[in-house]
Amino acid sequence: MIISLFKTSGHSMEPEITNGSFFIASGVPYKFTNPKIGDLIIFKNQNKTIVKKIIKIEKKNYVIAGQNLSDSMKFEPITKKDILGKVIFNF
Amino acid sequence: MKFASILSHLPHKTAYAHCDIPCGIYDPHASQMAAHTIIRMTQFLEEIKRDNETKVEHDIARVTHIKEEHGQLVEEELETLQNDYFKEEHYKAHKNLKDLLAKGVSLSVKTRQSIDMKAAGELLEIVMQIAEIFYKTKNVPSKRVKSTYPTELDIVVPA
Repeated sequence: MIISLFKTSGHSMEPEITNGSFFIASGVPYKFTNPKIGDLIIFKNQNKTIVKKIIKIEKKNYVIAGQNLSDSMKFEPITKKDILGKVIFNF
Repeated sequence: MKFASILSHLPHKTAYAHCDIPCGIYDPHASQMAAHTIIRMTQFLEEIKRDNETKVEHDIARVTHIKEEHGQLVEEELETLQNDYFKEEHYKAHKNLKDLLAKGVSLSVKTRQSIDMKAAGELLEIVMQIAEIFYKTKNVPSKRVKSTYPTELDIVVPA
């Protein structure tokens, strides 16, 4: 994915990304650098594109969670190849 | 026109940021209650007496705030059903479901933007139709009964 426009559905990334808001994500940044803690990323899970934040990196596995604490700890850590792109701009 | 409205016309995909636990707890009741509340708030706005200017401004602000909140609640409840509960087979079995969900969200916005009893009534009708489809997907018979709310309008409940 070079660059795509996304509309957010859900509240787990608030206040950074609100329900119904738009953001642009790109796979290009991770062609040259590794994801880092704090990055907002998108990845596929059960055929759905999910947006989350990297909160920890453990042996090249990325621990991800929503912004809302109540939504954390729900996904297994993912690897770099699972990451579709980085949120580079949100409106 | 808002910037988000402009963006919504551009090709885009959906990125999900939902509660990540597949809890399986879904219910169309909240959207129906919220639609009744919108009707009630619209009634209040139409009936407000204008004998005390300060009190009128205060009352309008409070009632409008509640109407706004419940319009948002309808939108969120319908989006949760759409994104998390209804599956492809439900849309195939109920050809009008997608349109009903879209129309429900649209009317929830319209009832927030205006004091429109007709739109509020249409919104309740739409969320009741969605509730009826919801119960069908659960193989649970449903029926329309007169609510116990001051609106004295119907609500869909399991039969």
